[in-house]
Amino acid sequence: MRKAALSLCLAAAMISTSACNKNDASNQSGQTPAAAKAAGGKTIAAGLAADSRFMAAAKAAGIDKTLTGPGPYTVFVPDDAAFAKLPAGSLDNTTDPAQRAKATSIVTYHMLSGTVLAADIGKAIDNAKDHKTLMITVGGPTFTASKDGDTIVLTDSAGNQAHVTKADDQYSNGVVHHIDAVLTPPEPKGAPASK
Amino acid sequence: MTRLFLAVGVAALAIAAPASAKPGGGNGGHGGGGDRGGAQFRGGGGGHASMQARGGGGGADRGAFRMQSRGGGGDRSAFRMQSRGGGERQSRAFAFQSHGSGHASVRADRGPSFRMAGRTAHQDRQAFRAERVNRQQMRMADGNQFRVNRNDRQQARVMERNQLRANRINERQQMQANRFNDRQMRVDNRMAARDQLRLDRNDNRAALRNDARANRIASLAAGDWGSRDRWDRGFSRGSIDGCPPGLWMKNNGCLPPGQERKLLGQSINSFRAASVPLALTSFYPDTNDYYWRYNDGYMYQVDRRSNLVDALLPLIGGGYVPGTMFPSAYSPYYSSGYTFPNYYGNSYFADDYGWNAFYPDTPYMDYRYLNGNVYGVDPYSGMVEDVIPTYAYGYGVGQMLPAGYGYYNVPYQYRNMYYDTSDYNYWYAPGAIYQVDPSSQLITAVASLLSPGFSVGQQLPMGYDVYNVPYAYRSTYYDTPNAWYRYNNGYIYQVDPTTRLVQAVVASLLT
Repeated sequence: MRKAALSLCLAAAMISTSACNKNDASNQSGQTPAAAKAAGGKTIAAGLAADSRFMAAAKAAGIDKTLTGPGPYTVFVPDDAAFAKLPAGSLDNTTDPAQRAKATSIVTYHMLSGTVLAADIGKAIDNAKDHKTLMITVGGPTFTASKDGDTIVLTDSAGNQAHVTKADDQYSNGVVHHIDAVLTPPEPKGAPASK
Repeated sequence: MTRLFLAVGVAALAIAAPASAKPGGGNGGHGGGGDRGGAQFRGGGGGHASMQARGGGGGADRGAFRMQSRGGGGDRSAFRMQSRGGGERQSRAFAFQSHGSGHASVRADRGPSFRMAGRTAHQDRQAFRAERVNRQQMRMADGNQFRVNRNDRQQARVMERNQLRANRINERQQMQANRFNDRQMRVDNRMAARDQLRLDRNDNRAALRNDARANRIASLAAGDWGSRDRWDRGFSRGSIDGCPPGLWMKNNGCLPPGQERKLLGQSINSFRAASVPLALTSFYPDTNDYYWRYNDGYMYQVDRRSNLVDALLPLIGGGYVPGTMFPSAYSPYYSSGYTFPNYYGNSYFADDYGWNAFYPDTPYMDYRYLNGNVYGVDPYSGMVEDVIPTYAYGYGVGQMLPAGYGYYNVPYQYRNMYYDTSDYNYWYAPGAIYQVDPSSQLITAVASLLSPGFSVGQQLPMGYDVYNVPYAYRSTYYDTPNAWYRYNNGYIYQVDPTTRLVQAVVASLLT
């Protein structure tokens, strides 16, 4: 009887484990094992604080799992204080699914394709005649990078500026720069209204 | 007839009185009021008022006089007088008698003595005449009384009749009013009943319609979601599931575009909404205030207290799908381009920006952007022929892929990394590779974000001035005065710094 109970427990444990395999394999990361292997051990998603406002917005947009992929990506991460400075109604509740479109556009406006180090941005600025360079984001729109002394300053389409406060946090699938303000992407014509 | 007798009686009296007075000579005119009364009687008609004023005599006499002076109309006057009451009538009769006797005494004074015998006879005659007159008077009084009574009766009858008539009119009016009220009530009742019936009928119809639709949706959802060939099966069945042509392919219960919004404010129980698929619960978390339900390609936010739909979020499948008419406001002919993000066809960032090259209008297909999707629209028919969900300005995660997107389309360089498994499929759309739950066709994750691409021979798009080659390749591919290297969507491209033309793909990171 005891043996039977034990075997039943074991069977139940095996069933529950196998049921979880699906989520463990790809749903939790959004990546196939091959992609996860390519991304490396220390991904951007793993490196950023899970409870930060940026990761909350990324999660709302479904991009948190993207950051576990091979990329590579360059991410400008506004700190929590920067999110707090956003005007009321901009992105009050990132967990609200109704704000997903807004969260998506904001998060992707802070991401570049490839690996861009602070030195690369500085070199492009120095080479430009007007000492500023356009940077295209994965969302499509661009922002401008310039220098304020040795500090890199990012200017969005509305003219808001963000300073790079901590540069070149390197991960297996990209690089992270920390900034002190949230950049606001332009509203293209035809974009769905926020719901 | 009675009046006639009365008139005849009065006339006879009038004739008899002068006849009896004649022997007295013309001096009778100077006699008492009685004489004058007789003269007046004869004269009839007018002028009696002045004579009356001049004449003496008591009131009773005058009353009698007046009565007679009216001649033919006397009976009326008498009637009038008598109608005043019995007492007056008696006094007049008395006055008349006294008058008569007075008259007789005057004559007696005048008459000679040798006519004593004749006088007696004459007195008898006089008495007889007086008695007759008296009788006549009495008869007249009786007649008058009778007439008065009759008149009273008539009046009473008239009054009664009037009363009856009034009652009858009242009754009739009351009846009419009642009848009107009844009719009004009946009409009101009938109208209310008809309205109620209509409401019931509409409710029933709406309920039946909702039920039918819900059943259809449920069956579609249960039967078709897991399959990748529902389009083919739809055609092979030769059935359109009871939907009008064009709508059945929406896989949303034939709801025409925009109709879903009508469910806002309705009870969630009025249609059969499914619970949120497990893979999406983290994207649609329930709170203390509301919870989420899925139906018709839309997510419904439901107020926990009232169970009313507060908001709905369209999933991709809730948009327009191939086979439906693209809204005319956005049609290629009427569109002023405002529905398109400028990087789709209308240059906004730069003409050479990557995605423009993907969706140029052709003579056979126009591309329009709406709510996160690029629609390929037949320029002649206005029908949607292709839907390409996009990322960033679309909704991405949590949406449903449009029906018919069952084929694998991940770009070649990513295929080693993102391949379909039994648990998850991958779908490419401009800007992203999505992880898709095959059972629900809902996008559960963004596996990879892709940049607007560029190809060999084209000018390097704006925004790529910054070196971005991944770490592992930096030692090999670094910028020189003669060559730049840029990373894009898994490839490293070589670019001519002078002309900014993309010269070659020098490395692939993913294959």
